[in-house]
Amino acid sequence: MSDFVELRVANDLAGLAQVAERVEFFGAAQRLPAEVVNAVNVVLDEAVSNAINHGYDAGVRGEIAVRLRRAGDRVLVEVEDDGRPFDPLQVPPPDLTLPLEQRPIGGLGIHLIRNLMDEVSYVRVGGRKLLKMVKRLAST
Amino acid sequence: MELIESSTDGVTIMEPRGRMDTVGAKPFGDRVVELIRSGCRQMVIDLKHIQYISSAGFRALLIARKQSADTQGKLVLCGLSAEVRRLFEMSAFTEMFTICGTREEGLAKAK
Repeated sequence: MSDFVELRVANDLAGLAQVAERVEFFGAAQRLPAEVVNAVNVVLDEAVSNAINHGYDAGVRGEIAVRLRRAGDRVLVEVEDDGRPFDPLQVPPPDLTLPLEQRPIGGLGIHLIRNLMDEVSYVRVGGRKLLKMVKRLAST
Repeated sequence: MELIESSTDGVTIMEPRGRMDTVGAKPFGDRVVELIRSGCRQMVIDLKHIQYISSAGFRALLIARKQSADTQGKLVLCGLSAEVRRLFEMSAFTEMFTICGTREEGLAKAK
């Protein structure tokens, strides 16, 4: 039973479905609780779609690597891409107290990543950027 | 994303099935907006076949909610799993929607 999987997708949204399927496959193989699989799927949808939508100029082809690793009671999730530098952790948290009329459309993605994962870090490696996330199985 | 639509006593019921993520939220959101634009004022969105919602899904729901409010319509959600409810709470979306347990309760609220 593989405890590591890496998937490389192009910077278009068709890659997102591949990522979600791979997460579900990995989760089943590792017998991960459904809430962990769901949490990983949510944060990967946020991180990969952010990389696709904000990291590349129109027409520029890029590659995004997604890695999942099971290490004891932790699941390590990595998203590495060659798009332009952007540290999602510098994005200020959204104001969730605003009423319906003033609630902005968007801004929730990073908030969900921070809340669903136990650890999140961002590093630059050469010309690539790497978002590392950890989900502890006991913490769900 | 599969969208199952039905109607009971004038209330439109929308039942999305699949991943409410960047890819799935698009056809879902587009269809809900289209329904409200074409005059639908009472709608129940049954989320029982949705396992998780990412920010793209919340964005689609927020647009639908705002549009429904603008047209004095009723938009009710039902069938949230414990997981989906937790994501709603995390996003502070719970208090912006009328949320019912079952479809029957949702239909009663939407009338």
